[in-house]
Amino acid sequence: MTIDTRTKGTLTLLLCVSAFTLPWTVGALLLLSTFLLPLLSSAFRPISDRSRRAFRRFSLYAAVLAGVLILLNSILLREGTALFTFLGIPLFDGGFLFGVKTATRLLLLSFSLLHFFLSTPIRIIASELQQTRIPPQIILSLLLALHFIDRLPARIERIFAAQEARGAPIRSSFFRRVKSFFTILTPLILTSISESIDRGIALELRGFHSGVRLLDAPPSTRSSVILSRAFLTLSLLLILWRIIRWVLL
Amino acid sequence: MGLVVEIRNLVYQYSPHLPNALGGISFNVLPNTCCAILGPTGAGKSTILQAISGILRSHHRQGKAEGVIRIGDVIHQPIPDKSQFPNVGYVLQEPEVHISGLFETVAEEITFTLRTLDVPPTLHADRVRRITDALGLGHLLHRNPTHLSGGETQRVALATILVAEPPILLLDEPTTSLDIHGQMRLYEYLRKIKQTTTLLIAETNIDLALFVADYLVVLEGGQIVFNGTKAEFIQRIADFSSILAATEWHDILKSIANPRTRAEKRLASVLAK
Amino acid sequence: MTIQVKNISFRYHETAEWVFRDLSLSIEGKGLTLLLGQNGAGKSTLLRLLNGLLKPVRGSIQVAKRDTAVTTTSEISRHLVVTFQNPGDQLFAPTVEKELQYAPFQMERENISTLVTETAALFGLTPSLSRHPYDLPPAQRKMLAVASAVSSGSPMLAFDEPSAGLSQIERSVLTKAISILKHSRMLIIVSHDFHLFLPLSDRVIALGGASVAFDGTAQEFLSVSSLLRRHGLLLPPSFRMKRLLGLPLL
Repeated sequence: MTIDTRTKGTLTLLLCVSAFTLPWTVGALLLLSTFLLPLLSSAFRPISDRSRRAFRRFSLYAAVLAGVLILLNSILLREGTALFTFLGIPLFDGGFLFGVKTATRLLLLSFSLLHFFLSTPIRIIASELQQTRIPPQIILSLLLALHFIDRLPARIERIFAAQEARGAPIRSSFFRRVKSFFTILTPLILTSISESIDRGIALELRGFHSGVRLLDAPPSTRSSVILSRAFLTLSLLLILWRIIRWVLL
Repeated sequence: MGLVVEIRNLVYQYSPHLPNALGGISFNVLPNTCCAILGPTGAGKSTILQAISGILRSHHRQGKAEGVIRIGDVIHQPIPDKSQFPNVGYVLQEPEVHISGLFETVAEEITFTLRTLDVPPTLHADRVRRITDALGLGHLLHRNPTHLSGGETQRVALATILVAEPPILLLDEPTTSLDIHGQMRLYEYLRKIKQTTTLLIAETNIDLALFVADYLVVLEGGQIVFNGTKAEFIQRIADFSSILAATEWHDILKSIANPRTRAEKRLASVLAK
Repeated sequence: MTIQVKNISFRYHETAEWVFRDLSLSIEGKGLTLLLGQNGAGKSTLLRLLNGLLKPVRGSIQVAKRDTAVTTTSEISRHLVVTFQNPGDQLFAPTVEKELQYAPFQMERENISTLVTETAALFGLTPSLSRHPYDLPPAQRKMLAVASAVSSGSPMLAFDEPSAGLSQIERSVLTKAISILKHSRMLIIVSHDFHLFLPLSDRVIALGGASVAFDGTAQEFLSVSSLLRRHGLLLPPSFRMKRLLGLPLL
């Protein structure tokens, strides 16, 4: 099944909105369904080997972080009864459930976004945004932010390599890697911001603000227009429903 | 055809807490000539190029400028307040930033400039081929522009602007990452296009100035310490040896100052062009 | 101080072209070796192979008698430190002094403050010790990246285009530092700036055709123009002009 970028984007928006408006059990089902998306449509498959590797790595980190979140909530939110003890510390079912709910919502949000960005080249996102009424300067800022995130792993690797070449035993343990990462955070952000600014200037110097589309996108089909409008409408309705519920309660 | 660039009493201060980056400089660049701006790091070379290109005003809002810049028939007082592309093409000092990251091949990256100029698509292939042949990029057209070496990146960055064939071209240290081949190719290309383009090149590499430039301006601390023809500069090159990387040229230029042998006369005529 | 490269072949991935095929070379003792070649000849790749960031597909590399295939880069750096072209990827301390202290601290050297003081003096960085590296002008940041390798105390140093983007003052400081260091350490420099480093070189290695195209002294290098042309290596215009005028090249 082929899906155009606009439909994909509005579906992603709907999934993100669902993460915080629908019950967590529905969110859990939707989370499982996000893993089926690449199987159902090539539009959701990672566009390169690098994207596939990034997805695998993210999934691992996300699972670990979710586990940590659930554990911490079970320990710190002392609600309900103690389920069992972990290293002598009691874990409470109230906290455990809260942790599971929060982790589910965050995982649905992050995996929805991840599937979208790993399966959509930046220039296609830019091209779609240029069709909207968003000012070119804002589109440029978004593009530069995406580019920054896209190049970030390679940049971090280069800095790690430079540190290692000066004697830091980066690869000796995970802890050392994390410690080294915090050491480089400030210069990484400083040089990345400066490079992003220069990159934005370079695009401006080539007439980016003239509004020319980055590529000629094929016209949308009737079904994709209907689908994307339906997803957008559903998202708005969910937000509205949530606001009304909050006001009434 | 190239346009004239005229700078009159240009003063620029990046912020109230900093000294003037440019302290009232004036010089002209005639159409279809090449002017090389030489000077040590921090002398103000890039500031001049950024002022002419229009990005200085648009990206440093707290900067203060005085003076006048004339580009062709248009007078800007003090400096242009937005990008002057396509009249002015500007290649920044860090070539990596010209690789947008939006395209998967070098050909697409270069073609994007032509799209912004509304050049008819039927002309794209020819224009791209001409510039890539001139810069030796033919074998890289299908490569990913984010996976190139430093020298290759610099040549692609040049191509993204040169393909627009702007009447005024500003280059900021274009030879930094190039090997000798790349440098010679670039000199050849610039010597060819200066017949139809006004060139303004900031450099620390004196070779480019000697092989391509018609006029030279030497900057130090935001002030002009030399402004004249290449012949006049060659006579006085020893005066600037402390601020310019030119020591290897001293003996050469002394030998050909009063050429006697055939080799000396030949080299004198090569440098005089 | 030894580097032994034995019959190495390397490419970045299975479908890529070979960068090196059956390349061998050996560098021993103090002195300056200049590594030349066209863009794309593999000079930077070779430096990454020497310090273990990349591993050869075939053959072996021994640095200070340690096989790079089974030794970590951080361990190799105790003997050989490599600096790369972009200083933005290499500077991460809050002050110049801490930047210079980083490597000898990681390597647990005993005389860290002496190494830092001497290196700062050699590169004219003494007045800037308390400054943030990103407050330095770009050319001085480049010098700091080079100096931070020197302060490591490692006996072998390799610099990738150390003079690119430097103006006259910084180049003079750099060449003076190189001329002093080469008497006590093994230096390998990758550079297009012939005129700066050729006169200081004890040995020139030129890469071309996925292997070593030339290996000899600077004087020998300048005399084999046909070989250089075959491998796409050009002398800079100033050198060619000097040759035509009969002026000394070195």
